[in-house]
Amino acid sequence: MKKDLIPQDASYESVTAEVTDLVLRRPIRTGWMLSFFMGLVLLNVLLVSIGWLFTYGVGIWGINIPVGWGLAIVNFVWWIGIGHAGTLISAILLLLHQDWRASINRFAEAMTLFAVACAGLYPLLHLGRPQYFFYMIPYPATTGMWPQFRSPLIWDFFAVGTYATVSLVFWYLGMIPDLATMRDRSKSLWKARVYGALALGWRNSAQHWYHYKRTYLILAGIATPLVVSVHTTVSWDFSVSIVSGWHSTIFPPYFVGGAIFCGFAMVLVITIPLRRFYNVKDLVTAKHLDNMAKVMLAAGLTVSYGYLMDAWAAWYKNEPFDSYIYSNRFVGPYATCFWALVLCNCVIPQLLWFPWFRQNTLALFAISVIINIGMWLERFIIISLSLHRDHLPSSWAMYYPTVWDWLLYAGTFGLFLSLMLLFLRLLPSISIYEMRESLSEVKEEQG
Amino acid sequence: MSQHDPLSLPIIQAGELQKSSGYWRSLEELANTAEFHQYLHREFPPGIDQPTETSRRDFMRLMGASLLLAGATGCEFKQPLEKIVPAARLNAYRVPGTANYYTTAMDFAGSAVGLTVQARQGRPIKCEGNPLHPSSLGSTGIFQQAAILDLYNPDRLSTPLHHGEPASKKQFTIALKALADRCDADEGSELGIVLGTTTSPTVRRLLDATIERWPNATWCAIDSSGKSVSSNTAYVYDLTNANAIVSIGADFLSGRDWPPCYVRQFADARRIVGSQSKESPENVEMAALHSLGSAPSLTSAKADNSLIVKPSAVGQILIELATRFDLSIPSKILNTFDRQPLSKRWTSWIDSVEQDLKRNGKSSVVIVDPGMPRWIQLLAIELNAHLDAFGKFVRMIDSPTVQSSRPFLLRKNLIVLSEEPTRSPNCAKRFKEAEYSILLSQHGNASLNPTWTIPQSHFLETWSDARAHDGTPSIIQPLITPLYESYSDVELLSMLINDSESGYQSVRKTWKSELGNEDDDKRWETALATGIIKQSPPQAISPQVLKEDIFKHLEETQSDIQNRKQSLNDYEVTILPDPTVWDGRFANNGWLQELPKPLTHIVWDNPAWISPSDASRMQLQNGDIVRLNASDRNVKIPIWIIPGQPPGSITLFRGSNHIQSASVSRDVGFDVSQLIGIQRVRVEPTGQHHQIVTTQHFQLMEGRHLARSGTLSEYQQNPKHPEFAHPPSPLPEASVYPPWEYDGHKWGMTIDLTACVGCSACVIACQSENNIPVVGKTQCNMNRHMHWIRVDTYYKGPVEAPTQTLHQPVPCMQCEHAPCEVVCPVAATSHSDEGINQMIYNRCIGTRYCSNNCPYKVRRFNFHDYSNDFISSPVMELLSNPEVTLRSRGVMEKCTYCIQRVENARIQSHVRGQPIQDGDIQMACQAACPAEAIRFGDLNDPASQVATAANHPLNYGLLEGLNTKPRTTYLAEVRKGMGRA
Repeated sequence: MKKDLIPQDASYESVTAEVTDLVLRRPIRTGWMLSFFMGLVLLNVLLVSIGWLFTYGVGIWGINIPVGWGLAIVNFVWWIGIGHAGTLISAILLLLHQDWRASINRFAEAMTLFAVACAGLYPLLHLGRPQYFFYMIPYPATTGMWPQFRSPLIWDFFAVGTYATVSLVFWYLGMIPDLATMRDRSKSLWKARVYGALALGWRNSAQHWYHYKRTYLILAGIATPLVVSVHTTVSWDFSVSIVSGWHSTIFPPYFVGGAIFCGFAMVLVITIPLRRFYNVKDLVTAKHLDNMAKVMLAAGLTVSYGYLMDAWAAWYKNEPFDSYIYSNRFVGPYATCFWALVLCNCVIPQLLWFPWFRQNTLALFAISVIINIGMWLERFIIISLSLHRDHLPSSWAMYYPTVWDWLLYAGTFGLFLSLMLLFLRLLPSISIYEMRESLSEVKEEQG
Repeated sequence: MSQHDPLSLPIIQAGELQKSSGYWRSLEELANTAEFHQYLHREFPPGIDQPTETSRRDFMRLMGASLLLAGATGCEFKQPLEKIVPAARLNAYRVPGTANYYTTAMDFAGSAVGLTVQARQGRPIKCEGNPLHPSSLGSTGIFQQAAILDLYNPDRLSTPLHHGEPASKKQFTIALKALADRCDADEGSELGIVLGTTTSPTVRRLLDATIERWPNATWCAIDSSGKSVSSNTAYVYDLTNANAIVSIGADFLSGRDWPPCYVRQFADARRIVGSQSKESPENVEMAALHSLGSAPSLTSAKADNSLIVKPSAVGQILIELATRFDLSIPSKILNTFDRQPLSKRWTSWIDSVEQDLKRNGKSSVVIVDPGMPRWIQLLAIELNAHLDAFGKFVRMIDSPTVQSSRPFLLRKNLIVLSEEPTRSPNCAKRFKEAEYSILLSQHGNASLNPTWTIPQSHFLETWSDARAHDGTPSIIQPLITPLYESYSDVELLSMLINDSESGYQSVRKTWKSELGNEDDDKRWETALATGIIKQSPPQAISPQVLKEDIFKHLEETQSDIQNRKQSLNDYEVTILPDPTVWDGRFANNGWLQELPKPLTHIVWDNPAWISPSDASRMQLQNGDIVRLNASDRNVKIPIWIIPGQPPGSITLFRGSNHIQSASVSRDVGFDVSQLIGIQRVRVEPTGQHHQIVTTQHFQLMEGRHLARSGTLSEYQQNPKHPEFAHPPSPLPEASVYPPWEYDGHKWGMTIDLTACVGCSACVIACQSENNIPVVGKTQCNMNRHMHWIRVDTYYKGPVEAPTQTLHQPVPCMQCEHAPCEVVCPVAATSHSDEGINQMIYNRCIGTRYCSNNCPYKVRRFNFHDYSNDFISSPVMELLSNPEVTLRSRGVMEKCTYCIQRVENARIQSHVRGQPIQDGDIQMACQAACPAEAIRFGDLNDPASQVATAANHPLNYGLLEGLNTKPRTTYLAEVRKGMGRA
């Protein structure tokens, strides 16, 4: 089975060359330049939107009094969700000895990191007075004030902070042997020095490997609960409140399921063009895609189950506010969004039962994009729609995002794209040592 | 440094030389010169923008001076020179940092409402009612609350204008002298004086003096609809002990042109909780209200039996009612009227009224709107006479307003003492024809092209007097010297006839016999301190006299009735003053423009009301613009569909007759003043649309028990546990957190929905007290209005004729289990040890989670820098209550039970060494409420009013099923109930 995951004619040398050449040998291609330019343009959109936001305040967005949280929080949850797949692939699949993860874990982790960076911007930017964000940090102040620890926002602050830190360390640690390889294969002195510094003196000794493997496993152990905890905590931002449509005990598993769902979709959205343009089809094989599609299908079913149970509970409770929230989702002013969500997240992913859709990269790409849109709609419906018609009809109102809401969202794509492209250009985007490890195992099997 | 030192002595000395009052107390007062003000208003002192060598020492000196003087910006205000007398209840001296209270009165729409105005270091900041004044009884309406904003309005005209060019006071004095000389020559035959509606005895005395000096001069009082003020009689009602009240077109619960005392009387006539005489529920008596009108109003909303019909049908229904009582109806009326068949709803209304009046016999009263045609008033008088209501519930007195001496005659020289008459296009047109005109105006009106435009002083800047609705006079005393070079009507008149007299002297002269000469201050000061002048009540006029007077004018009846006959496609028109900006005099008042209008909750607009069936027939949506055609005139206006509006009729609101120089009202609203006097229009859709903003989009309760109400009999069936106040719902009692404990006070509030009429006085009072900014139409359209207390309106029943309209004021509930408190990450909103859910603005970082989690949606967020945008000029800074923080951008805010008032009471109690008594603390909303619907006090004190109300069986918590345990609770509304659906 393993041999499906690595090229037939692969040797240690060829695997190493294929990955390191991407960075060290191949010239910068026009495609990369164009994409990077686009990334920079969008990055500037981000900077302008932030500048405008800081000048005029959050009033430039469409939020209002019933709907205090709009696109900023929707996008935060969406990006955080995307950030899930990376750690899931790295940590949980590592612990479960799913070796097929080897070729995709590195950039899945990078994706996690960049997605969390994008997500992390929003909670700061959405504050009315972002200059005082540090009130959320427990530090000894002359005022004697501490954060209010009962607030899920504080839990969220710590959860996301921890997750970002652990993901960064895990990603970096995983890269150390490969950075040493890069150092050794660099032709210019300064490149060797930079990679050398980053490789922290890795000499490939048996003792190094012994400690390294231990540490990596321990970190994987630490990261695993985080995969579950971050989105659970994010879901508490909502389920701890008394807003109908938020106040639901099913949120933690259903948010985690959703995160895996859209996280894998995002990994596919990145992988499919990547293996085409970088010509690494032999490292990231059809088998990889197939496996990821299966995970996505499973996560999709979990999410659909979550929708069903949430609606059922609202009906079963027979409580006017919750029932209204649901009937409003079905037939209210935003019903189109809701039915689009059902189509994107529940109906279309069922195509993945058929192998053809899992193997046809174009179809898989399209389905992944649709799932990402669907998951965005899900957050929009949960967050903003639950607020727009809550307990007192006298306060009901509509929420319309403004151009600044959308520009900030587009801007974070710029940040994501730029970071991703820089990563592909400057760092080993596929784990070389793990590929070599797999290769040796295959060779042993073949005798 | 520079050659022009801003702090050099010569400038200050120049200031001193210009002072005539002699003493100076502070640097800013001393240096009261134009240069000094220029210096204050410029970002950099003169000289600093010239490139000079500046040493570090000079820089520091300048910086220090700038900082020192930064606090002095806009300090050009002081108390009047004459002695003004604070209300007796508080300290008689100015103590820095504390408030002083002075009584005065606001003359509005034919009666004055007595006020107690709070002043801080000489600047008035808040109006409250004067409890001793009969029109106020301690409370106010929205206009009295909002008047303070007009004082500091930056758009006010600051100097006299001669043909539109600024001129000095001296030039104007000379011009006025010349006018007087011309009048001397021809005994005033070329002089005409035009007034608005005023009740000032001093104005009346000065007018008489004018005629005495120039016998051929005339004066004429014209109201804003262009009608001459000439009804000699006024009705004074006393509803407190009435058992059945019939309102004929009278919106006496509006708290606007009808003074707030009527709301109080009505509320007292129906009060259940807190009423002394109605201790046992079985014996509760309650006044029934029957209302007949031509447009939905606050009165029709409160009525137990309401009928809204086309204006032409009001008379017929009244005739039908009168025949049931076998009244003699003049044949002149009956013969002209062709009676239409009565509809079922009409008959049922008449039946109910007949039954009720017959049952209650001699304790019933009919209230009629003084603007109704005379023959309708005649019928009302007949009914009242039949019910024996005269003397008991209704009196007729000489009208307190100054009447026209003769109909409006155009004279060559015209003095217009008020903006009011100029709001009517007819009058405005004729003013323009005058050869020489003087217009006294707050904002100026260039379109009238007057020879002189004279800034008009605000009533808080002037000495004058006014009469209450029952004729009781009050002295209007100023709290502040005029901010600009302005005059009052009293000053202008007395300057015209006797140039040496000040406003103060004129007023004292009027009251010489009652209050003594200028050297005898005792009675005068009592009148100032109490805010009223004790007199024996005015002679009641017998109804017979009035009837005869009406009979004389009955021929106009025929034309009135004839006018109302109509063709089928016409719409009947009712034109009312706007409920928030009135006839336009408050159009430039941001608080009032942004105050949600009763029933519709529309802000910053005045669409035409149309019935749901007419709208669906013409396929019109809210905001679609229609053209109203009437013979030679037409007006384009958007429509608003309102439940209860009678089909075939349209209600318009005047008050958008723009003054283009006004910055607030520019491009706001639609001017319908052309149509005044028109009774029928054709309605033509135009296909255009106008964005109308409302702060309440949904007015049905969606099956939720929000504003609860029931009938008196339902209450009496089960007074221990009335079901309508406590619908069955499982109440969870569990909580993760331990209950709060209160050793000292436990503040709480109750709102009595039986009393509340939905007048919104509380909203403006709160805005004034708590420095709540105005955000403008665009922000309101994004649902970002800032009111801390709002009045929700809900309808029940069919949309064509709702069976019930409910008002529910919603401030912060100060929940015991406050959902906002637990979710704030930085503890910026927290529970005080007295139970108030406090806001710590400095700590707030603006996550808005508290607002999301608030089921009552009473929290308001500063999406932009609203406070600073609102304080657009230094003069607006004088308006702010120094005890309430101005909130910056990105901060959440909300009602905190006027915490500053609580703390003031605590300080007072420490000073006096006595505990805080029940009633010592009045919330701003509570103080303003004409119905006394709001009670505040200590729930730990079982004898307190609020504790009594909170323990009453009618008490319930809004959304109590959520287990938030609201601290602000409601008393379910009890209606009389007519046994009709």
